[in-house]
Amino acid sequence: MKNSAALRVVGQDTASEITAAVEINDFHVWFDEAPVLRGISLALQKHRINCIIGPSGSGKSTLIRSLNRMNDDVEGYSFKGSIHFDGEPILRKSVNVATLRTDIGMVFQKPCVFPKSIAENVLFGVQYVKKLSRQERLHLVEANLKAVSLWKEVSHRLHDRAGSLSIGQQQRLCIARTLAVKPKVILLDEPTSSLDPVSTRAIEDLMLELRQEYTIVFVTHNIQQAQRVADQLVFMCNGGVIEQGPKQKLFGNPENEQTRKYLNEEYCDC
Amino acid sequence: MSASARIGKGYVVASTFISAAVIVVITGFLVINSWDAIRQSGLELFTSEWNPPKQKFGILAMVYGSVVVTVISLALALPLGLATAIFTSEMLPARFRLYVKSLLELLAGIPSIIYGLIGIVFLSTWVEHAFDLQSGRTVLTGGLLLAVMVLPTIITLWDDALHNVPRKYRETARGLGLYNFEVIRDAVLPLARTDVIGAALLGLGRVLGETMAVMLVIGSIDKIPGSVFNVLVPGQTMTSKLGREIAETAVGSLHFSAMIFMGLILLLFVLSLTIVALTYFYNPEQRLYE
Amino acid sequence: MNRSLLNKLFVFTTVTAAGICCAVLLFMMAVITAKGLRALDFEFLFTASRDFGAAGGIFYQIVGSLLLVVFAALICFPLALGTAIFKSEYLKNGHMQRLCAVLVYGLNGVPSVIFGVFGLIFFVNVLGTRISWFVGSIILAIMILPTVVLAAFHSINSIPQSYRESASALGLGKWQVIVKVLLPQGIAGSITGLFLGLARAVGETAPIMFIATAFSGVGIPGSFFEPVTALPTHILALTHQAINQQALQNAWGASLVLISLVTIFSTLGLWSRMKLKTMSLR
Repeated sequence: MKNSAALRVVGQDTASEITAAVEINDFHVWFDEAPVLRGISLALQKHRINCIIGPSGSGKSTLIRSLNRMNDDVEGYSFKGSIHFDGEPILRKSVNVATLRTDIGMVFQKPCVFPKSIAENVLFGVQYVKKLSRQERLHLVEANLKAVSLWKEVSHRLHDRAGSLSIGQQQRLCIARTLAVKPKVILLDEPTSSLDPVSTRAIEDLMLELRQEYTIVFVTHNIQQAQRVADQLVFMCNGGVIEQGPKQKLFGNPENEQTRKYLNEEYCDC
Repeated sequence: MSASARIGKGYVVASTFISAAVIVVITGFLVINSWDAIRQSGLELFTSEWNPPKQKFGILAMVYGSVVVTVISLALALPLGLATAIFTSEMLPARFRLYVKSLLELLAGIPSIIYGLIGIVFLSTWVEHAFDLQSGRTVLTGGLLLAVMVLPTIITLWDDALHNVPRKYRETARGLGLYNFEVIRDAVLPLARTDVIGAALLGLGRVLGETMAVMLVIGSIDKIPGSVFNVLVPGQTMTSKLGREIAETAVGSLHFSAMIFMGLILLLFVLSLTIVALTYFYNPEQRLYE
Repeated sequence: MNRSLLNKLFVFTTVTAAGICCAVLLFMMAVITAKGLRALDFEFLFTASRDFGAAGGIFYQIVGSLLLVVFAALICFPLALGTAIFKSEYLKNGHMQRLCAVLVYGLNGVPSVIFGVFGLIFFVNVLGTRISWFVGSIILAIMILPTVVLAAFHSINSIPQSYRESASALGLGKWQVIVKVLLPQGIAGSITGLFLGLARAVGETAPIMFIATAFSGVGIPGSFFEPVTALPTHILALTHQAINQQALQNAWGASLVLISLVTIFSTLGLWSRMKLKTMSLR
């Protein structure tokens, strides 16, 4: 873990302005006293796909679930360290968690739609943020379904149950629902792991589009997928960051032997 | 088929037949025995005067008593129980849950006669002092006691109903920036809806059918008060009437038959509640979530 | 209104409600334990009652209650097990399954006093058995039948299909599969259900008070068709003399003993679930 303490911001494209959206500083997590994250320091970059990769049990999910404080509700959770979002500390008790989660949205591993209509599902989160007129509701449904390229497929049956969609469509609906609350950061926790290759491709294309407007943090254990979509890559192992940097560097010229082995799908004892 | 297999099959068929027939036999006997009353008194059974010496057997006063007692107890127990179930299922840390659940199961198992004992020793005295009455054995006392009695059952059933809703719905809703009360109101409760209503119906059936506790605290006067909203007077429910009088009634008399008729009305009502609960609500196949 | 404020209000409401419930329920427990312990001693448990229960102990009431539920268990268990096996292994027609469920669940919802009334009509009057503890056992057995049937059904029905298939593949007939494979595994759940049913039966008053019990002057019955005296009906008799402090104290003592019996049966039920389950997995 020799690089884990170093906080480095290296852009792949130095011409555009690059800033960190989320900064994590010496962040530790324990579940029931057992350490899960051991001193993570990271900067996640604005308008980039920040891809976190690593074997199962390396703490990837725990890390991104900490970014919008989903772990607060997990029994036995405790932490040390700090996380800043747009310069504001988010781990303080005084932070309004509900508001934080509208800024940092999350898409889970398995699509989870409510037993309501497709349109109601899109509006499920946003309707609490402000009162919506009928016009606004229609507009929001259309705009967000278009943003995930689902509009063409479902525009004629917006009042059907969301459960009637295919799993891949459901996952895109979940993303649309997250987009509707207008987050600045979207966390995706292995969003394609339960999908078929075609649906996976659709989600990947979608992510590449979304990075124009959003900061994306994306967890996967699939190395090819990381190669296809990532801008920035973070390699995690055993609760720590082994190496981080632009994708090309980690794939082409990694500093760490473990990183090289893992990304080449060789045996790596971490 | 070997001999033992044949005997075995005969045994399971016979026991199933007996188990299924019991309820039919019970209903049948009540119908047969209430036939005299139905034939002789007819619609007069649905009047409010119960006076055996005059051969007047109107059961309305008892029906009224059962309804009022039930309304009072559910009006208290349902909101209190729901809020408590939300607390135990959604807010209480998991390590306390086992203890709370065991305590609730223990309380749900306390025999109703003991609730009755507590009712006459404590509750009726309190009601007597609080409202400055001559006797604390009133319809209100019955309702309050039943509320306490049905609470543990309804809390555990509701706690299970809420707890069975998969975690992912809560996480998704929280992830979208909902406050806890919005998560519970708009994500958890709608998903648990069928179980929640089913449990409430079972609670309703239990309250309606409860005998001993009510019988001891309600005062046993077969009258509808001048104002139907006056609950501070003694009353009578269908169950308390049966419990108090049936053993002292001559079998074969019109009086007996009218009592059985009342039992039949009660049984049919509770049975239809059970069937509705079963068909529409308390049915695992109708879960709204996988 | 402000969402954050509403949320606080909501949390406050549920915590208050839970507090109220907790207070009420703990009060009940405290009263029963405190009042009951004062009445409880060796003599109370092992002597007969005198003066219509106002003096003496509750020995015959304990014996009577146990007698009632032991025979209820003996009557109920074979019947419930047979029904559960048929429901799980033979009954495949959807309509029949639904009908069976409605009948069994329907029985579960029948108010307890109705069982008493039915027993009075059917056994005491039609069959002319007079007041008898054995009739009480039959009625209690009927009352707990749904609980036991459902528990047995669930434990037999949840045995994976592969067990049945691999046993049939070894050449066992259907009944042999049931006896050799399903019963040993399903029995734990059935026994759990039986104990839970008994926990309920032992505390019931209404089903037995017209047909099985007498309030005083009864010892251990010499035949099947004699009345006994039982704890719940004894408490009922004592509440009628609630002005007499000694009678009231005895009522509390009897209540505590009754609750202990209920608790013992439920605990046995849960214990058998854990114990027998691990045995069948071995």
